[in-house]
Amino acid sequence: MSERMPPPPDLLRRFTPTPYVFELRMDERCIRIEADDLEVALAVRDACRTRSANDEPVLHWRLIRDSGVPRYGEELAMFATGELKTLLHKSGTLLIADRKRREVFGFIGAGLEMQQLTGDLLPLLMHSAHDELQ
Amino acid sequence: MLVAMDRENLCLHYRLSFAGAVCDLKTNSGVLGDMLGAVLPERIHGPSFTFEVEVEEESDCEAGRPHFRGMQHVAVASFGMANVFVFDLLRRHVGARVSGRVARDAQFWQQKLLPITIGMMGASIGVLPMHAACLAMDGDGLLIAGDSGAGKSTLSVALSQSGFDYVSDDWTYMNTAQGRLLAHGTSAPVKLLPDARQHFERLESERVGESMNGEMAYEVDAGAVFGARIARHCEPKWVVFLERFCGHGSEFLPLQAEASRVYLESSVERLPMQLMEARERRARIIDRVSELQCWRFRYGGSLQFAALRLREFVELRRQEGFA
Repeated sequence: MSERMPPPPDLLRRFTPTPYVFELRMDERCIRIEADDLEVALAVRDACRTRSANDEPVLHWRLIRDSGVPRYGEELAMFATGELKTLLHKSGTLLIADRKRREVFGFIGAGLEMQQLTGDLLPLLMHSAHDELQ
Repeated sequence: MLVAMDRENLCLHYRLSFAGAVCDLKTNSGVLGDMLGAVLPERIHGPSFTFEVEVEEESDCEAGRPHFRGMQHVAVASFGMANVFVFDLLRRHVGARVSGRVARDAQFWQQKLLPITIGMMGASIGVLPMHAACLAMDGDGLLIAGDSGAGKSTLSVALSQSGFDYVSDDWTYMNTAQGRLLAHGTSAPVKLLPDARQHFERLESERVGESMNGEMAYEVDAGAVFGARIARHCEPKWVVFLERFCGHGSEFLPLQAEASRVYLESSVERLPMQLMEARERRARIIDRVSELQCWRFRYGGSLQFAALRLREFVELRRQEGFA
């Protein structure tokens, strides 16, 4: 046993600080966006502002830029189980939506463009999957 | 590609014992269910979690390099896009889709996925992973703790050849049942570094391969290769921290019981606020482990010498207990 033990590990990167925080008030609801990357936080904020009025809003976003992740061979995989929808993108992006808790969180591959995140991946996660899964 | 898990398709149902918990396995693959049923005995009672595995039988994708991430109450383990496991700790649910090839790969499940699953889900089902080997004598458990490379696995095998039942060599899973603290092993093989061959002739017929953390190692069934008696669980009584030195000799130095707490709290993963209940449950198990008698075992000399000294130590402690 070491005399001085190291701090508890964070192997999954759960506790990566997310200093960029926006809170939006929309339809009397508060939407909180947290990210460790200003570009990501701004992109998601703008996407939330322009969402369709028919959509159920996500109330909590938490996104981390992730480097050093494996690039997957396939373009895209989506997978729904229980209350969760999971999206994996070849860039090393991993996004999870918890419908019941109205949360979206995950890791953004280092090379992913914001336009692809907000224009393709998030709508796919939030809407296309929803339609097909219901 | 969008894949929605079709629950009606998961028509095969198994209730399996998994490190003291009940795993409600639902799958569309009888091959997978029967294979897991062979290594995990059936169990009816206990804290449970659901494990839904949809197998794409026509897919031949092998398991890629593991990748782990987690946030909030969810963790994900992926082995390439075709083999993905999503752990929902809040709802005690694991969802997975795997290729037919991976579903049939018994080594993948025993060496990788089952230990990963109990490591990920442990806190939510009241199971505490402890980085320690575990051996048992008539049901009384000896936990052998130490950093990676301290020699836990080789010593576990040596002890299993000198009268102890083998529970685990590296990670042991603690829970409480009916007020008793229990230590569980999994079906994971014992992992021995290549230099273990000098201690165990029986490794001559085994092959070294790449383990999950990239190390080259033997990963063998302790029962099949070494003739160890396997105990699925025991009641832990003592914790010993290994420390080797050059030269020959040994000593047991009593430690404050809090040494176990410090060791555990520095090795368990932090949990987010969403899992407050799981944190409290885990803290209660740490309290129980911290009540165990605790020693530092310093030794120099052969593996067999260390095993002999540990055996004498346990026999003495048991005689004291009976006196």
